[in-house]
This record gives sequence, C-alpha cells and structure tokens, in this order.
Amino acid sequence: MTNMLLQFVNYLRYEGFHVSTSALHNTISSLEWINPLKKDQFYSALEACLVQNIGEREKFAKHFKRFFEDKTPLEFEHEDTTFRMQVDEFVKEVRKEDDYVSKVIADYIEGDVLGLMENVGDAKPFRPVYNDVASGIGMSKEEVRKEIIKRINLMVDAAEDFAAVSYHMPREQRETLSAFLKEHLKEAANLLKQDPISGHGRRHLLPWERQRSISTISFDKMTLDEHEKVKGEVEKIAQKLKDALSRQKKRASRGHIDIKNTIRSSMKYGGIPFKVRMKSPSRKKGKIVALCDISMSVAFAAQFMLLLLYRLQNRFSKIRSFVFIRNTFEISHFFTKYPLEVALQKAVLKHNIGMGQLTNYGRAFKSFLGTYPNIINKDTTLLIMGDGLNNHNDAKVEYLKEMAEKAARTIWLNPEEQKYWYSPSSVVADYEPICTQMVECATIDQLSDFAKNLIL
Amino acid sequence: MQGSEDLGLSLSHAIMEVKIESVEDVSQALENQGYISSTEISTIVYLAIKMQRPIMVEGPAGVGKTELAKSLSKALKLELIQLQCYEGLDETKAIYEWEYAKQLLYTQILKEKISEVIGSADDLNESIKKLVKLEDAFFSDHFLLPRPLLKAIRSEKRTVLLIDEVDKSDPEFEAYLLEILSTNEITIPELGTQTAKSIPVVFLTSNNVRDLSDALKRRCLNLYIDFPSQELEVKIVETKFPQASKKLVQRLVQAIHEIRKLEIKKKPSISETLDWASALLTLQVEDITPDDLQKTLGIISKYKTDMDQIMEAADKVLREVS
Repeated sequence: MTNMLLQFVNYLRYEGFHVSTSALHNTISSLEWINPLKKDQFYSALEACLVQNIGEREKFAKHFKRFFEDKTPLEFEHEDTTFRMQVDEFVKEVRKEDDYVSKVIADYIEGDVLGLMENVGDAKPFRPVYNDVASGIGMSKEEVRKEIIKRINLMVDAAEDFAAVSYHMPREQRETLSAFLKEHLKEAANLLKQDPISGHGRRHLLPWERQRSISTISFDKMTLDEHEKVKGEVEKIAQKLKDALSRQKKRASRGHIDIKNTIRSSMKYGGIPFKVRMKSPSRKKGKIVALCDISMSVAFAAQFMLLLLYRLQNRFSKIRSFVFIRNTFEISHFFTKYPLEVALQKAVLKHNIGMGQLTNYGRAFKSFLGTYPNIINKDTTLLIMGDGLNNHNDAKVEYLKEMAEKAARTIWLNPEEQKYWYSPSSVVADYEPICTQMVECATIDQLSDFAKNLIL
Repeated sequence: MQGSEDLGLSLSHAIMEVKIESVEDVSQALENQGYISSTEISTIVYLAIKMQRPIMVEGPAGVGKTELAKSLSKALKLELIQLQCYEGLDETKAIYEWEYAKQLLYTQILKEKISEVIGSADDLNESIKKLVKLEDAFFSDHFLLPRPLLKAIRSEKRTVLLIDEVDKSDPEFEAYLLEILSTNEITIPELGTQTAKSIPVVFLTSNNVRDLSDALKRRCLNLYIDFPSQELEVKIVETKFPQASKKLVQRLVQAIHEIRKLEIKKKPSISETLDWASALLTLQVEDITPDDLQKTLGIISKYKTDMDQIMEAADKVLREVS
C-alpha cells in the first residue's frame, strides 16, 4: 500500500500538485486508521492530507479516479497465491517481448502505472521522445500510444488463451483470471484513448513557453492560462495590501502612551497607574477616485485594474470606481452588490458608456465633472487608467486640469509601454504635465508596485 | 497502531469519555447530537482524533463548520474552548496576559514589606538577589491570565478547541498557532515552555477571507464542507424537524437547491434551510406557494437584490419541485 501511495504522490507531483513529504507522511499514517477498501474513507483521507487548496479539489478527484478507479490495483482484489502466481507468469510472458511497449503493459498489470501515465492523453511538458519500439526511442508519443493500444488488443486474446490453459487451477478460477487480465488490459487501453483536454477561446500555453514568468509579460500578450494565473495574482496583491494595512494600523495603535490621561486616571488609585491609557491612532483621511478606460485597446489591463479595485472596494469604503469610453459612469454600487463580471455587465447595460466605440478622453472627463462635480476634494487621490489614445478627438485638457487641481494628487496608469506613449493619436503629451505622476502599468509586477505605493 | 506507544496519545484516549473506534462511531456520535455528517466529514474527524491533528474546515458560511466542533464536543462529552478570531487579535487575547493591575497591587504591598525582606542582607549583592527572587514571584502562575489557547493546552482533560474564522485574524497571529498546532506547546518567555497535558481536538474554521499560509495548512487535515447533497439535506431537515411532513421537506429542500443555482450574492446555507423549515412549520404551511415564498423570503435571503432575483425566478423554483 505504501508503494502505491508513493506512486500516486509521484503521479500528483508530475501533474503539478505540490505534495510535501510531511503530507505524504500524514497520508501513510492516516491509512493505518481507516479501512482503505472503503472507497469513501480512502478518498477522504487522501484528500484531507494531500489537498491544501480548495481550488485543487476537482483536479484531485479527476486524478484519483484515473489512478485508483480506472486501474484497480492488483493487491486489492486477489490475494490467492495460485492466482497471483498465474498473473506473474502472464506478466513474465509479456516481458519476454523485451521492448518498451511490453514493459509498460507488464508494469501496469503489476501495479506500476507511471510508465503508462507518461503516455496518457493530457498535454505534458517536456515529454521524452523515443527512438524505436524496442527502446521506445525515436517514436513520437502518439505513435507509442497507438502501438501500446494495438499491442493491448492482441494481448486481450492472448490473456484469454493463457487463462484457458492454466489447467492446474479450477475452472472457476481460470475464468476469473481471464476476466481479471482482460479487464486490466482494457482499462489500460481506455486510459490511453483519453483525448487531451481541448481549450476554448484564447490559446493554451505551448510547452516551450512554460518558462515565461507571468510577472513580466505585458497584459495584452498573455495566453489563456497566464490570464487566469494573473487574476489569482491580482487577488493576492489585494490581499497583501489589506494585510499590510492591518499591520500598519496595528503598529500605529501600539506604543503611543497618553501620559496626561494615564496620570489623570491614576489619581483615583493614589497615583498608581493601574490603567494605562493609550492614544487612539490618527486615521488617514485619503480616499481614492478611480477612472478606468474599458475600451478594447486597454481591455486586458482594464480587467486586472478593475479586479484590483473590486477587491479593494469590498475592503475599503473610500474607493469610488468609474468606467468610461465616451461617457463616465460610477460602478462602485454595482461592485458592492454583484460579483465583478455581473457588476461590469450591469454597468455597461444600464449606462450609455459607449461600448464598441472609440475612446474620447476629453468627453469622458467632461461628463465626469458634469455628473459628479463634488466627488473630488483635497483628500482625494485621482487615479486614471488608460492608454491615452484619443482617436484624434479634442483632448479638452481644461477638464482634467480642473479635476487635478481639486485632487491631492493625480496618478495616470498607462498600460502601454512607455516608448509608444507619444504617438500622433495619443494625448499623453497633453495630459502628462497635469498629472502628478504618469506610470507604466503593463505587467503584474508594475501593478503590484503601484498599488503598494498608492495605498501604503 | 501508529503512535500507540506515545504517552500523550494513550493518556488522551484514556481521558476521552466516549469511545470512538471507527468512522461509523463518529457518524453515530454526531448524529446523536443532531449533526448529520457525510462520510467525508466523519472520516476526517475520526482521523483528527486518532492522529491528533488539527482540522482546517473550509466552506461557505452557514454549512455547519462551527457546529461540527460544537456537536463533537457534546458527542464526546469534552469541554469546548472557543476562540473567535478577528482583525487585530493578538496573543494577549488568544494565549495569555499578565494581570497588570494585580501585579501593581502586590507591588504596593511589597513596598511596605521591603525593609523586612532586605533587612537581614549583609551587602548590596545579597539585597539584589533577594529582590530578584521576589520579581520571579510576579511572573508566576498566580499573575497569569490564561486565554483560550493556553487554557486548552493546560487542561487536565482533553478538550475541543475551536479557533473560529481564523482567516479573519492577522497573518502574524498564524505564527503563534504554528507552534501550538505542531508541537502542542506554548512558550511563555517568563515561565518557559508549557506542554499540553492532554492534546486537544483542534478545529480551525475559515471562510476564505484571505489565503492562509501553507505552513499552517500543512499542519492540518483539510476538510471542505460544501452545500450538502439533496438527500443529505433532506435527512438534516427531517432530523431537526421530525414533525414536518415528508412532502414539505422534499419541496423545501428542492426549492433551496434551485435557489442555489441562481446567480445571487449569498446562496442560502443549511442554517437558512433550517430557519425556513421552522418558519414554514410555524405558519402551518403544507405546500409552498409563491405567496408563502414571498412572505418568508427574508429568512432565505439577506439582500434585496437576491430577493428580487428569487422572486423573479419563483415560478421556476416552485415549478421545478412540483
């Protein structure tokens, strides 16, 4: 059983699970207390010890099924010695072929699934390439897979013949042996026939791209997988900011002894300071007003920016978020009620933001000031996210100027790389002098750095 | 059996009043307390008791995470020690605190006796030694105010320690938990290391407000309690309300499952199902109509937008069940 667990853990690690040695140790210990033949108990014990993140539960269930159910381990079912000897005999016959494919099948019947798993459908990174059938070298994975399936089909008949002539076993046992071998071989073939998971929408990561680091790839050049990972990273940034703020708040509340109050309250104890009075920490009054361009040219960056704002919105009450293309509308109240995607959909449906149209910064700023004239004050950090491509419309600099004058500081986040900022259709050159700061925010690292500086 | 030679294990087993020898025993013990558990829950609770590992229970609000610990403590007849976590929780509220006022009071008494204490000393050195001895007395059990974690560690009898909503505490608080969870010890600088007299059954619950550290998760058995299956939920309602008709329970649970399929902000949990069942029984409802749903909507949902959505889909929710 321990060997099988080791194989399973190796298989999980191969599939990208992080399984520590202590988790493996726990798993082995847990099996001493439960009945591994009861599937529910066995599964629960393994899941409890090996899965640390909720998000991995579904993946774990899939791999568990593939490992333990699509292939029933030999030792679980038949403990009879004669039966076992006959299975060993069959395996020995298979091994006589002395090639890679036979070895994989023989190992599988004996309970070692790793060889076969190497050839199962899922796209695996850096699979080895084999040459010929004997060593498996030089053949593509697909060829090896087909060859194994072909060989298994031949072996199903051979297994039946083999069981039929095992005369030293009673007839009933011969039939069981035949069924057992055939079942195992068919399971192996079924496993190999599983198709790789097909993706939708944006392309999947290619194997040679796996070394890319999501922290430095520009938002608009990401693959589907990276896109999902970055969403997770944004969540983490929001979390870190919250943690840092909580630490900051805690530090501020410590160590500020209020001498005057402490002495005053000690009077009733004859001057003994039984109750130490602390000064309450001064609270920062700053608030954030964020305006986010959601036109197609900045769609990817806008998603992450909005996700960050959404997460922070639900933690700090003083963030007000707005979106614009041609007109500006507030979406803070949607953020507080709905999940991000629904909030955006509702905002877009309810308001005439100008979906599908080209961005007009001048008009958007004018509409912001017209609709929300008193929202910015001297405590406000005005945050604008956009690439500055104004599509040859009038920049209407005076409106941004008015907004910037009202605010404590104005920060512009540009998801374009800095070298492209000053193209003819861009108004960055007009707006940059008005802003306190214009920063490039094209990668998750840049977004993270900015968020830290903004809030802390 | 693994670790049976271990003194702590045998001691704690001896102390536990109700014998738990199998997963089925756990299910039965919990059921006796009105907590209907799935095999997964019973298995992990059983492992936690036997392996003396804490359980990290995660899942949506209201699925019975806290209730699990409470029911187990009742089932095993063990004292429940609860620590409710919140932002800003620190060691003085969770582990221990020195009774400052009491120490000051004793200082005052000592002030009057000080000449008696050092009176017989020949030189300054000896006087200091005598005073240091007194100082040690100030940092003794006498002035120590144990909080839930230390209480659980020091308890002579095995306890159930519930660290509720651990994700709401600050990340640095996790560091304190690491020592307790991995070694069952607490270090008090002035007193030294306090080792558990009997190892508590520890439950940590989390609603995923923030990611907990891998180090903390690694020390625990992980249990995720999701909304129950329809059959299990029917069983839960039937256990809590044996007087309810089978038809009403079926309709109610099906309606709840339909509501959970909607894109709403807060999906109704088991506690809401039970509250709803209680309300419908009080109103003597036999067959749920849209009107009954409207009247009792506040029990299932807490948000106006969710209520609107549920009522919009009321026909579907109730049609599905008929």
